Amino acid sequence: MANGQGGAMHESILIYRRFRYLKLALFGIAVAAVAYGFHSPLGEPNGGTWLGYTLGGVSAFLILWLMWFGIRKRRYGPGKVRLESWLSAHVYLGLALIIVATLHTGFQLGYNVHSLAYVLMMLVILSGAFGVYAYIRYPRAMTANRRGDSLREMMLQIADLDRQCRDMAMNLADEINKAVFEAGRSTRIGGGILRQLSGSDPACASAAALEKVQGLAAAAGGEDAARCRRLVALLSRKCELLRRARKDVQLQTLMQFWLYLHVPLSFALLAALSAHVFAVFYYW
Amino acid sequence: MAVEVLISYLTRKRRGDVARREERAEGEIIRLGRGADCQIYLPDPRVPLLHSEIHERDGRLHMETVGPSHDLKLNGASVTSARLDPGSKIGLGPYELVAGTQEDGTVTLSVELIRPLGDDFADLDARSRTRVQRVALSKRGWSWLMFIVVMAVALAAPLLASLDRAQEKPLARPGGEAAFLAKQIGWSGTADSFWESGAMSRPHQNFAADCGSCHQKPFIQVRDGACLTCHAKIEHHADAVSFQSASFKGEDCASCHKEHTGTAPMVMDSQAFCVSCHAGLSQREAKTNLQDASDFGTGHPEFRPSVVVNAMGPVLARMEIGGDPKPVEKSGLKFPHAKHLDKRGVKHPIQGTVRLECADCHREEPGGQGMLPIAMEAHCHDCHGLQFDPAAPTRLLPHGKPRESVEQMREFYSKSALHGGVEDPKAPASVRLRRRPGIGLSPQDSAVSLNWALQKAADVATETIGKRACGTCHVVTPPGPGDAGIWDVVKPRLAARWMPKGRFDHAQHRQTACVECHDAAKSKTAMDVLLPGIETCRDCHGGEQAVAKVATTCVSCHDFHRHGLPPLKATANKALP
Repeated sequence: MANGQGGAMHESILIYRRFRYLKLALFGIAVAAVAYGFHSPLGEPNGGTWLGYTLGGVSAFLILWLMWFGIRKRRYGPGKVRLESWLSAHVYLGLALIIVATLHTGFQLGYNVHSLAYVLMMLVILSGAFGVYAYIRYPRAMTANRRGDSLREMMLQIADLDRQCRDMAMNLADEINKAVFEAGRSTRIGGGILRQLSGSDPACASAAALEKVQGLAAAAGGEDAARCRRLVALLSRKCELLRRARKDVQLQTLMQFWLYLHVPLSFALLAALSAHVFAVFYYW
Repeated sequence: MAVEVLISYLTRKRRGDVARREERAEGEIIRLGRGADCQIYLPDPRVPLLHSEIHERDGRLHMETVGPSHDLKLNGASVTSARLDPGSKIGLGPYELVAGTQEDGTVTLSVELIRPLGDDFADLDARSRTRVQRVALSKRGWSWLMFIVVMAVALAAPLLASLDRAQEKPLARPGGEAAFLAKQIGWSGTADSFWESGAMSRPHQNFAADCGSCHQKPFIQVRDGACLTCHAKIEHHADAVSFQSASFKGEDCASCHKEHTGTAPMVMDSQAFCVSCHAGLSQREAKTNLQDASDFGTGHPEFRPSVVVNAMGPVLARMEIGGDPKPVEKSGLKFPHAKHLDKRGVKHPIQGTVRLECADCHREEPGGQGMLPIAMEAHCHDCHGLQFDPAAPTRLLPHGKPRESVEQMREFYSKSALHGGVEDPKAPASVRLRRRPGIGLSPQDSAVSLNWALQKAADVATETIGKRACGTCHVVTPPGPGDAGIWDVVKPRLAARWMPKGRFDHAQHRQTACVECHDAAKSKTAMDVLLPGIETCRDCHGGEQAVAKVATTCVSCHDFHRHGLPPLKATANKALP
């Protein structure tokens, strides 16, 4: 399978060194959970007990360390620790934060800066988890969709089909000619972020032209009828190529877009975390 | 008339050269368009199949559009008909046609595609945005924006609000310049409530608007001084001199009382906290007379009410319910509950036979927690009247005053003796004889009469104080020699509360009949301590972790800060300046 290699590379982050970091994360979670289970503070458990401060300190340190990955990954060249190792640890220890930080809260949430930090952290982890999913899932889907063509090659084919359609429509009725010309002139791939993510274009001029030509072809006769049939075939091929090109854009965008949430949300979290720590000790 | 036009198709080469291909068109009319049957063939998709026709009219050639909306321009102006004068520039879609004449008068028309179609791929590529990077998003920009917004909302705004308020208080805090700035920009509010980690307890909510009421200095934990502003008198838990382990030295108010954990009052009801000392208290504190307790349901001693063991004393002693000896309250009263609660009723001097209920005598105090004391005048007197002479049923002895009672009887009988006419066969003649008013007694008769009166008073006292009136309910002692005939009635002493360290709210138990806990119907003596044992409570109440019972912790019945003890925090010495 042509797509095997891409998937295997990304999966290797998860199984890196026989799940070394998964084991580490599970161990950390187990220690935190056992400590929480045996901890019986005066009053309700919350972030203000000795265990609360401990879990909070560990969580804050983890957040800073996880964000350091953003700096580490820009340093090219071999470091002491391989980037795969960093990423594997980043994924598993990031997921471990879900449990550790939740135990830190003692399940006390409200409309305040402390819970803001918690919610932002959860959103960061959620976006990161989607990133992991995207890296496992989408390269394979992309390869299957491309069938050996790059997006540029697909677009070259579309442009070529545009020319062929125009030539074919030259001697057909003005109405058909106009629809085909418009389809060539205004069809586009992708667009804004939502259009890219949707992977389709409900206002696609080519699809409209195809529909129109199909309708008008029924009324045509003689030589025109044959031309119309060939035009319909060309437009169908173009629409199919457009569908694949848009799907390619969608998958590409999904692979990258989560990072546009993950990184800014991380910085929002960094701010909220600073405010949280400051507020806790300011009004100790 | 045939029209003849010499057409030059111009094609511009890349280097600027112009290729020219000439054709002659003639006919009745000359057609222009994309159609293959047009003499002037314009193969561009932007041109209709048949765009326009050239006619001759009045010896001149005119170009006229065929369709109503076909694009035709003459020297830049939109027209539907253009005369082909020499030099006329005619725009036809992407083509430009320039008219001219040859020497022989033949009209020439140069045709040039001045707006060719672009490169299809380049156009498609320019229209399409296929990369996230090409969308107006930037990780760096969004990161900065979100970081700054969150910093402003979650850190700067609350801090400014806090500093602003601090400025109005004598308790000046560091950061005065920022506070001044905050004031200048008109910041006021309670933005620092965004820092509140949880709801405040209801009794403290009046401080919610100013965090500084309790958090008096930044970065320093809330000190006892803040609490003692209002709670200076809060009592100690135990005698800290005798019981070192109950000194609570080094503990702050906030060690136990955690604020911002909900609207419920911040009373700590953790059984574990109490049990950490009380489960092994007898080991820990040699001097204590408390028994160990670990859980109401499974590890709590039987109740040991403080009962009066000597009414003369009074001496209180703790005696265990159901223990040996069983607890008795030697109050000096005689009162058989069984007799008064007899189902057949009791005799009432006016109402006949009456059935008594508990509530006929025992009334709730306001609030309903305890019961009002029993008073002789209110509860006993209707039946147990203090008459002493059948001939004077309205004359009553004063309750609780044996000396006055004896004196009242002496005066009553002395007066009767002086008046005479007493119907008593044992009385001397001078007392029995009815005298006319104004006639006095002889000195001998006076002495005899007074003697009788004193003896009569003493006899009636023996009957009333000794038996019928006082002796029924009280322990009485007849006068000895030297007591001048005055009886001694033991003043009753009842324990105000049998369990002074426990709290029991009768009002919360109104749905339960009195006799379910207090077995009064079988009690034949007032010495019985009619308290239920702990097992009666345990019918409904279990310990902190009880299943299918009312979960009851230590503070459900016991107070930590014990009423009557000196303050836990002797002075407000921990208050901040």
